[in-house]
Amino acid sequence: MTDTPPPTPGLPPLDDLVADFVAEARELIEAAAEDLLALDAAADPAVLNRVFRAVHTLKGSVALFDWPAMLAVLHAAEDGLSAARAGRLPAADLVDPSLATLDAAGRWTEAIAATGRLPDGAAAEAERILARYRALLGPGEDGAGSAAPAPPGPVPRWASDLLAEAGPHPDGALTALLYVPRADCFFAGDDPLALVRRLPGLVALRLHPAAPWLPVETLDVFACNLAVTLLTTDAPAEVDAVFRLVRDQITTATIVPTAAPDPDAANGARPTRDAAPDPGPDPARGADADQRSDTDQRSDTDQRSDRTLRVDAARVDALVALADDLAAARAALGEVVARAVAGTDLADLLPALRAGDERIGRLSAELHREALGLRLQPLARIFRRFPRALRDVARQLGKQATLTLDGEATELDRDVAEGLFEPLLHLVRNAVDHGIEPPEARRLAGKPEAGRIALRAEARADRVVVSVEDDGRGLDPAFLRRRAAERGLLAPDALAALDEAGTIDLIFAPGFSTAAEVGTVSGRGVGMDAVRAAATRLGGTCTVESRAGRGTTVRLVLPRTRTLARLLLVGIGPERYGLPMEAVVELARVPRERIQSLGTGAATVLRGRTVPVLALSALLGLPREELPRNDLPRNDLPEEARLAILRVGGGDWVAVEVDRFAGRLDGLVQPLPALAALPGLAGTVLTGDGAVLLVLDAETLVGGPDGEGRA
Amino acid sequence: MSVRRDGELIRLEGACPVEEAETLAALLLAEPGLGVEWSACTGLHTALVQVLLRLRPPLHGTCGDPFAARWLAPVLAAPRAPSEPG
Repeated sequence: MTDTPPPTPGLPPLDDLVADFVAEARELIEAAAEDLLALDAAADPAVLNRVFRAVHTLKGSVALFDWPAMLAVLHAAEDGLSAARAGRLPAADLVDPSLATLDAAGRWTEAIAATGRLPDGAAAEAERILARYRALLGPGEDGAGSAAPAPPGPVPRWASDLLAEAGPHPDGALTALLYVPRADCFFAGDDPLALVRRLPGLVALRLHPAAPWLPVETLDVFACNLAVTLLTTDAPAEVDAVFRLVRDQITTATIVPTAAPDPDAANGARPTRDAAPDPGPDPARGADADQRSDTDQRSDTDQRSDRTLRVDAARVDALVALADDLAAARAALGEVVARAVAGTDLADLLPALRAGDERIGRLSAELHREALGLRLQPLARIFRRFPRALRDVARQLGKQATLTLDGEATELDRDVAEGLFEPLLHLVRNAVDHGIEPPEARRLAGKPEAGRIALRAEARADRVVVSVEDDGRGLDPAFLRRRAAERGLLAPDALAALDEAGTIDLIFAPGFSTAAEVGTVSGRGVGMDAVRAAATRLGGTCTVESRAGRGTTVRLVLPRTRTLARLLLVGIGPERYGLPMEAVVELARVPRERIQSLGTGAATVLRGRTVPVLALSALLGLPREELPRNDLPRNDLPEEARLAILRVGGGDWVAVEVDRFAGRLDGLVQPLPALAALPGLAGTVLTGDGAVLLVLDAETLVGGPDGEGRA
Repeated sequence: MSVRRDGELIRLEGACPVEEAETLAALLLAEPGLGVEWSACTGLHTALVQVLLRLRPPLHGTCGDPFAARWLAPVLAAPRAPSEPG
């Protein structure tokens, strides 16, 4: 890992990235400075952790740019705070240099905001601050070495059992380590025990579940639930060096050997940090949580920003204006109520009531949309981490690849956006590792030596399509079949029945390991099934397209937000369903004789277009004849067909026949993760009377990528 | 191939990367009585260690990875703590 990245030619800091950085840095610096002052008054581990995180996050953001003086100072500050967290340094000693760091970082941030670069003299000031850290932490290049010998402290509770197990160790001081890897660390490519392995002086090791095990039926093998405790004769500085990339997940203590550890003393000891295993990120968030990777190009922005949200001022203004309108609408309704109380005839009040209802309905829908908009963030915040990640990966693999980003301005719900980083990183690593051929192979194939990888985002109605495309060797269906057969993923006859698309889809099968050819890069991640699982968790889908020799495209289709959808309600028999209004072009009643049977289907002509007619009951697989239809004439079909004309795909019209139109509804559509695989369903919505309706997805209902209707 | 079923045993062979955790868990869950033979295993990712720790299959042989043989085998062979569900 290089902590001071070389300048990155070809990646000039973009104005909007700098603006983003400045806004974030201001917040972090302000919050950390407040916390530091609190730390001066009392050493609270939680506050210390917050300061550490803020500094660490800020450092991560700075590392995206070429501001070495700022990076060095923040790095030293992080080391200092890390030493304080480990109990090797009194937190109070760090307050002054940390404040000096933040003060300098604050001034530099303003200079960056004004000029796009660090001010003159920043390097000299950085050197002065680094000297203070060196004085505190002991010698080390740029203050990075936290080699100060830790003062022997009391034995933390988590280490006392281990000490008893290890027996007397007269050889000198021991370092005890508690390491609770993040739940999603496997996904980031971490192998926690591989770090432990690098301690030559290991004398005792224990593994515990970090949280009580979940029942085996819900076993998630890619969620790490381990707490590692160990004792080693390695000095704290050496231990720290091994675990430096996961510093926020470890607690260390130095233990002076005693012939027989006194359990009372051990139990009375205070751990240097809260010794309760850190539960890690909320498992429900899955891979959404932030992580650090070896290249350190990532920041803890995600976790921190759970607490604060930067919002465009215009959006707040719009919200306030809507709230004002809503208050006015309620006042108008209040007048109607007053008239009703005064005895006005209900029939006379009806128009005013309707108008009030309509106005409040419109305003509340708008208010909801604006409020949800607060959660939207441009994908640039995620995409901007990739140029550096790609560079590192390509260099490791000795390949050449260029990355193009497209659609960074596309907005997406922040939870969804943040959950995308891990899967996308995996896809980019895969593309470089398995997709892009070595330069000479590319030359022979008539391709430019540098592979091209494109990361794209595009908004499509209420979804966002994010794709990773490479121009590499593509997937070889024959190889995939062979591998699937070897692994016994499918019975031979099922395998034989797969078409090419189905074959390519095999890469998503759990257990379709690419272990045989993993390199150091993608082998550190997990399989494509984890990428698809991540997409599903986010309420989306993941598909792949590949052409041998031409390249591979993996597409993630994700919900843009939890939307308040305007729905058209349609009835089939006793049931009602919601159709998103935005997909509905118009409603039509068409005499039955104008619907022509054409081969296997039916069609009619509307406004000069031939429009296929599909029965909703058939699309939903409803057994039509079992429905109570006694109210209809014996010939079964009404003389007029009620058609909802939907616009799908590239603008084609499709008519869907329903039994009746049943009104409109505005509602919050809840996705159905468990049913995500069922084409045609978008989710559920709660009606005013508490009933649950299924909401249909026009695109897949009539044959989008996963549908069957029009293939 | 690094995780495979061989009669009444699941064999771990070579370096077992993180992806194999899924395969290992699937095999163990499908047939809980199976033992795991790991003498040809030259290294295993933490995710697999976690599967072994969670499902506690009987381990056969001495792991071919000295680190695992020295440090992980005792942990995986230790009796289950009373708080751990079966």
